[in-house]
Amino acid sequence: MAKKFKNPDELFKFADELTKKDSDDIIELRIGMGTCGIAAGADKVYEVFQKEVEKRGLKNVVVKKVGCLGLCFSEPNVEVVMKDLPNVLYGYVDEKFAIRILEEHVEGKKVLHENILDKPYQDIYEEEEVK
Amino acid sequence: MDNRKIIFIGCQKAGNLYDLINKKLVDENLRQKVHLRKFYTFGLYTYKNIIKVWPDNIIITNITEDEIDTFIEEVIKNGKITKLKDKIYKKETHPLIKNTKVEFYHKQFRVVLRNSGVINPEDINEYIKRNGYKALAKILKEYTPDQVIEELKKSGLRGRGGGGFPTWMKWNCTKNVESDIKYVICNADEGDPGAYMDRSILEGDPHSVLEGMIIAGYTIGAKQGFIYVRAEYPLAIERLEKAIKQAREYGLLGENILGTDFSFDIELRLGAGAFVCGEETALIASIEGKRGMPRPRPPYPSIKGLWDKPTLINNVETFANVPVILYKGGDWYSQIGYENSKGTKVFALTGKIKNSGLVEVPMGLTLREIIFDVGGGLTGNRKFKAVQTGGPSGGVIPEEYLDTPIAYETLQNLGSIMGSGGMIVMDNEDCMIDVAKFYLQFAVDESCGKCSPCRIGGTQMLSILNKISIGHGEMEDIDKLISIGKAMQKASLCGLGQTAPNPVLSTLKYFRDEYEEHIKDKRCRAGKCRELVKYAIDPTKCIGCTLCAIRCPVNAISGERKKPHVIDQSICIKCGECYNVCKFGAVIKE
Amino acid sequence: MTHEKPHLDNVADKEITFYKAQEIPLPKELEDFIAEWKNKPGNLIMILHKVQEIYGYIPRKVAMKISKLLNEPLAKIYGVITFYHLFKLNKPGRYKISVCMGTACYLKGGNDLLMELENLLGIGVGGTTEDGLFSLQTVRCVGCCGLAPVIMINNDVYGNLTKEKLPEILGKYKQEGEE
Ligand SMILES: Cc1cc2nc3c(=O)[nH]c(=O)nc-3n(C[C@H](O)[C@H](O)[C@H](O)COP(=O)(O)O)c2cc1C
Ligand code: SF4
Ligand code: SF4
Ligand code: FES
Repeated sequence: MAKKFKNPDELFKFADELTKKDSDDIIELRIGMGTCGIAAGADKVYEVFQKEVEKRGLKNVVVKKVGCLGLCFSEPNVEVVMKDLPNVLYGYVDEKFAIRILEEHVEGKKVLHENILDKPYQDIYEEEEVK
Repeated sequence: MDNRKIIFIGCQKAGNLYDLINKKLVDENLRQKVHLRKFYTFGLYTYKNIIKVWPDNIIITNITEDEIDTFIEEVIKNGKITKLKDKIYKKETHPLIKNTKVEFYHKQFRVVLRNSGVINPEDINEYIKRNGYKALAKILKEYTPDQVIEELKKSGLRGRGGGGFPTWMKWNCTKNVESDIKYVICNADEGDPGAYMDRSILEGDPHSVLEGMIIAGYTIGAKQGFIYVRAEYPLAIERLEKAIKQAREYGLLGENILGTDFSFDIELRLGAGAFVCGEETALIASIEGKRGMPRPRPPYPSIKGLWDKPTLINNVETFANVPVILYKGGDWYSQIGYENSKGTKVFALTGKIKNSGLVEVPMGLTLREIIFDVGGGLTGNRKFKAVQTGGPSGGVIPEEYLDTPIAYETLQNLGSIMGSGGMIVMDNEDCMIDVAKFYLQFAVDESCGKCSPCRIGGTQMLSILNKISIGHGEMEDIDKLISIGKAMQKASLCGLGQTAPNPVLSTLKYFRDEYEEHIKDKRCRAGKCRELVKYAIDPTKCIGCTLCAIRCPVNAISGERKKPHVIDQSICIKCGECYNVCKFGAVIKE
Repeated sequence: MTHEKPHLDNVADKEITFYKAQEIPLPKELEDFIAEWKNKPGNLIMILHKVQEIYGYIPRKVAMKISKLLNEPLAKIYGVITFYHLFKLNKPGRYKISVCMGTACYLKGGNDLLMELENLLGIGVGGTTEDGLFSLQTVRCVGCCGLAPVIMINNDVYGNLTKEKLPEILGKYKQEGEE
């Protein structure tokens, strides 16, 4: 994939293309995998998600490693981003709860009412769209 | 702090709301009754014209000019809000989300951590998708180095490594030195022993740091950058290595970046567990492969740094701010923050706090908001005693100053510092002498030993503290601590020695009675100083379960089954085992 | 790999090994690494990191060999090794126990954990058990203050610990070590 940008404009174009490629039905599972997430067992949760997503043939689900969400006290943390539902951030996710997230939230399209942490923060880049 | 109300006015372009309110207050002769502060929207920027009233902790949104009179009437004069009631901000949640457990993000504003927790840090495309490297592309296309510096100047960004030196000045100074070779160094030797902001940035969004460094390279005219990162951070190192490799593949690092004639590359160098290497001159010595000893400044690294070449050295968080500033503009950035401290600051909020974690808040939020709103208060709802900021170079801040807005100057005025972002909350069970001892011990262990005020003064202070904590202190010791401390502050060669006495001096300033209690009454009210505690059994609570007698390692406890037990003080070694095992709270520490 | 204890005080031994050291072969991984870094200024610390990664400590013989390869006086190399806490001159145990003594862990009882570990293992900080299984050290904040107090055994982190939980954790490694 070694693509070398030959001038600054190519980078802008590339960024646009990446954004366009995003389809609406992608469901993202963001798992906080900084050092402290991993220490609290996020790597196991990540594996469970990967395995289960494959087993269930959920093609539009992306299981994604992300950095620290800041909530070290409730690790492992998982944020679910999908169409028609608000972004939800779950804390204290263990292997069992991970499966419930898949079954009830992702497949059942219903927000689970346990272990919801704060609403994810306002994004500095969303401001542009608001304007 | 006096008990005047503080009115924070957040208007989007620092608009005229402030002036109008100010004028009105002056006209009505009320100006003396309140403090007025400008403040950028607290992450709630879908609202315009936000006013925060402190200490009431009320936020009123979308106030119009016509409502200013009502505002003054209700908030300042009567203190009872009726007409403006509908405008009081309430946290909004999506109708589908019920009972969130905490309100952790509510007052946060993530600029540095904009991507952390959102993107996969191991995939450069995800960074680019979130406007990554666009600032660099824009600069290479249309900015001269001076224009970059101009933006930084407008932004008001100051160093996040502790010192708070204006970043643009450092860049400008290094840029203006004539030299064929210059270097950029990122200081990722996070030294504060209770903090991990830089680590999380590197783990969560390594490209933002790289982009900041590349921009720095372009601006000052350097071709080579180094990241000096603690070897104890394997995951950060791994992610940085991946990020550097990907950036090279895309032509964002290396020869002819983005097809221009600007070339720049970055190499990692590992630290090896010496706190003093966080000091810039020691860090440079360490990259050169030597013992990490500081040297006197001037000459500053910007004139004579790595291999005697002009060197720009900034902290991880400082670099991570740069791409956003250049992407969104210095003006945008300078709206966030408080007085001369612009932007946000990441803190590692730890200790006896419920929501312990990494938080990013706009400068100017008060300590109380960080601890009680973001942090959710103390664990076990215990009583707050003090908060420590700035790690081994900082100090403690007691309850009465919790309404201080966070900024470089305000913290300094309290005898602490902003530091790199450690924020440790302490409760009644923490002894201030013990805390001072902890930090000083750390500084003594980490002193490089090059200059004597630090080497000898530190050891002397530590031995006095030890003496006090075992009940052998004398009243003169307090004055001795102060005079040695002051001498160290003045005479030490580097920041380590100069700031090492701060934890002692600040605990003395605010908790002198606790020192005196240790010395005169031989008492440690927190029950931490082992030699001073006495364990005893409360006969009205003891049910005679015998558990403590069984557990006591020296058989100091006796008593008949089902009858109150007693501890023989002459045998007791103060291990605290009985205190820990009693299920009835009958063992008391005194 | 040989793991001889370095005899720092023994002069005669030192001289003999110094000449011998020039001939000892280094693992290929290390040789390649040195070749890559040899001409970069400031390479010593990076090379020492690699040595420690491979051997778990800096064996005296290897330090000598590096002195020759880099053409740096041995005294300078030792000066650097002893300055930095991370570099070890003695072979660590198979399971390296690091007790976090960062501020958060200290306040939440890190010291109690350390004392209990010293009791359980019968060694002090910097020591290694006789069977070579465990060694004990303290570290600064490992970045999981939310889980304080924390210990690390090799790369596994154990958080929210009380001293009652320690025997079980040690037992697990002991069993693994004896197998
Ligand atoms: C003893 C000591 C330790 C320091 N540790 C660090 C550190 O861990 N990280 C850091 O960025 N700066 C540290 N500094 C500050 C650096 O010397 C330097 O001021 C800073 O890296 C400059 O970057 P900035 O302008 O972006 O803050 C330390 C200073 C002293 C005196
Ligand atoms: S102040 Fe302390 S750490 Fe700094 S140079 Fe002097 S001895 Fe070394
Ligand atoms: S453990 Fe408590 S209740 Fe039981 S004998 Fe001791 S003091 Fe009394
Ligand atoms: S202080 Fe122990 S993990 Fe931070």
